[in-house]
Amino acid sequence: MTDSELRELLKRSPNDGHQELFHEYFPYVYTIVFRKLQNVASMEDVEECVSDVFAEIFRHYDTHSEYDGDLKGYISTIANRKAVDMFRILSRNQGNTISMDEIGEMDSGIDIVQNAEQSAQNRMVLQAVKDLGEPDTTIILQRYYFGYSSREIAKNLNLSAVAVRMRCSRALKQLRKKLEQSGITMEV
Amino acid sequence: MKKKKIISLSMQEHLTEYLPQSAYKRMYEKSVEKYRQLSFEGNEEEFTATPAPMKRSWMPIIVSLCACAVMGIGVFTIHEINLHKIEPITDIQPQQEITDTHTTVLPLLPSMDLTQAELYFLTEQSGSDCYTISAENQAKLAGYIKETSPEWTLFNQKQNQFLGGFQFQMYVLYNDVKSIVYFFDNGTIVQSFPELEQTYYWGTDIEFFYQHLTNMTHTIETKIPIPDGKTIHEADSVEIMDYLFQREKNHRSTPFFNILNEDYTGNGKLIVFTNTAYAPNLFHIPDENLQSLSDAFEQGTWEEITTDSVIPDGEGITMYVYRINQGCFSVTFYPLNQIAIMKVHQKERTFRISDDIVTALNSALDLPQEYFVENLIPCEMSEPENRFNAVWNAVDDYTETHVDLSAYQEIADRINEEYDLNLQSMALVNRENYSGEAGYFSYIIYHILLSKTPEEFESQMRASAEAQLNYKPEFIPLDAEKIFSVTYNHDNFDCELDLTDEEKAFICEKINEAEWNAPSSRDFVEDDITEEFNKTEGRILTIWTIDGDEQKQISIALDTPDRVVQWQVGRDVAVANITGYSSLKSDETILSIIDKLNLDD
Repeated sequence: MTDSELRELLKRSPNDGHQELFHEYFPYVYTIVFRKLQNVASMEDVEECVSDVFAEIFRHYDTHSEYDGDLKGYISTIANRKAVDMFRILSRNQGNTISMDEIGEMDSGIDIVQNAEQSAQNRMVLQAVKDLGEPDTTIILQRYYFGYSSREIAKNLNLSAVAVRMRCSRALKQLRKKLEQSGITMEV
Repeated sequence: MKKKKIISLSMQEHLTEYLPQSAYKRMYEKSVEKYRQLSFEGNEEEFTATPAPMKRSWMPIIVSLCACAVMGIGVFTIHEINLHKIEPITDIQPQQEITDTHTTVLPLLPSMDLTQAELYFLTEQSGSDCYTISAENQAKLAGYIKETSPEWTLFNQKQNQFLGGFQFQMYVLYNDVKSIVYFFDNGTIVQSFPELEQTYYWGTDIEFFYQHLTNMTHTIETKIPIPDGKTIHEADSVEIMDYLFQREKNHRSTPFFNILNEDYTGNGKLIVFTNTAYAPNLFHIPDENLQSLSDAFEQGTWEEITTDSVIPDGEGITMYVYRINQGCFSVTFYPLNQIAIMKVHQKERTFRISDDIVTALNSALDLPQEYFVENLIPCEMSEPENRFNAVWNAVDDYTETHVDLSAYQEIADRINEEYDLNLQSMALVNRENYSGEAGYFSYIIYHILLSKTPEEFESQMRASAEAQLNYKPEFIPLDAEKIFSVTYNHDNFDCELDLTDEEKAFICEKINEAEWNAPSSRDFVEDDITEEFNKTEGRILTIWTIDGDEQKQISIALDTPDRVVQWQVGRDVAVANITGYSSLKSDETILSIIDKLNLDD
């Protein structure tokens, strides 16, 4: 759905518009927030922040319905701003003194060549994870990327926690084998 | 200085597809709720009234009433608009396609004549096997799909990311079209065409369908093994499809090996039957039974299903035929699966065998409880060759033993030639090494080599059998620091216990100091574990430990304290490497753990 179609829908039916807007931009918003907060926040905090962002966006469209700027840019601004706010709150509560420059960024010691290698490697790792097939791909990503517990994953996937752990263990071994075949050695 | 991100934003965006549907829904609902609050707070300033801390859903109505009473109908009108605006969204609905996709993209499954298709089913529980259903059931299924398909709703493709776990898959081979249909727990069906890269989604109330099909898979007639013993999650879908196709081509026309031409009662042969337990049991079939078995081989049907290596489930019986001057071969029968695997010259061929062969085999074996003790094969061997001497020398306790290989020298040669046994290590083999065919041979030959006379050999075997009966698996003590999870299953309700270090230490201490009985079943196989610990009733406590790469678990059936199992997680539960299986001598350990963790009913 284009931005203009989305705006039309928001005017015509705010509820449907909100739903569509959320559906369309959820991956984008979640990613921005997750990148900023993954080192300091729990999954609940990330979810809280994402919902704050959308609440703000809904409200903005509610009160500024004539706004016709770049929607994605606008959403990005709100998401970044909210994530930084949340980061400050969490850091303050935890007594951390992390510089804002460090949020969601890489170690400064890595040069461009290393970056490129790392990026290519990550793509290979992600592809290897996807090649595991379902439900193992989802289990691995939810467990190690998003940080859900085995119990939560089990609930999400209608499996038992025991089965999730078992699959996780098996999938990691498969993954290690695949990556080793690709010349990538995992640290144990 | 700004730095480059390692994982691109778009790549990370894509990963959100793997977030659970519940999280997506939760965040949406929270967003709407917060939006309502924000909207309300915005208008609240106009009322100059502070709402009481009440449940949010009632707040607008109550404030509205207050506002009406205090400020008059004009304000009420304003707030009424607000109420309309914040009309609750009860639930997030599956996103429908904006265009009428029914008119452009029709579901293909109902358009297929499924009565003419080949259908294969794989379930979460089926491991390395897939199943077919009867023609009658297939007709029922085809009819049901036809009848209900008009009510199916095509989903947006993006819904795929929230489907959750699947219960079973159905492989459809229809003319030249291969596709896979996934039946998900939440009542969704997905049909996938790998070659076409098209996937269709249906979301509807298919509870009846779901039940209907589940019931049918419970009445399976045939099990078909997947190549290389892979599980459904390990095997590539296309690979399975190709395999199934190939299987259909192969099984009709392949001539059988010359097992049918064998003279099973003739001289110059040693025919050994063993079971496929960890340490195999030998038994002897009388000549007359061999003849009836030979007749059954002749009259029964043998369908070659693949040249791939297949490891069927369940107990098997291996027949080794050592033929002087003719080489030797073996056939392993899996009566439960009606599969026979023939091995000769290190090559395998797999056949599906008919009922009458299985019946004849069972009849010929006529297994008594103690068959392996009472029906040993007397063997004599003459002077060992150098290679055998090496074995001798490797085992100090038996260096004085003389072996007579005169009668079976050639057989021994054949065994060496065909199976390339590592006799050096064979002499030192222990129970855990008796896996695989070579292990069985080493076991047999080991005892033959150690025996001067048939009586000695029988004595060796008897001692071995008794040792097996009294076998006490080694329990690996638990280390509290290595525990990464403790789960508790009660009436099929699974939960993870959040234990303190002190509680973990307590459990380990109790289990480690407990006395253990010998296993209740000498023929223990992993199926016992599955059966016992997959029961839906009773309480099961499972302690998981991880040490480097090794993951172990111990499961205790709290309501049946004689059932305790410890195993090391291997490739899968079904092929777990059993490191211990025993029971506790008293209930005290169990009771103390129940008490400590408050697991009482």
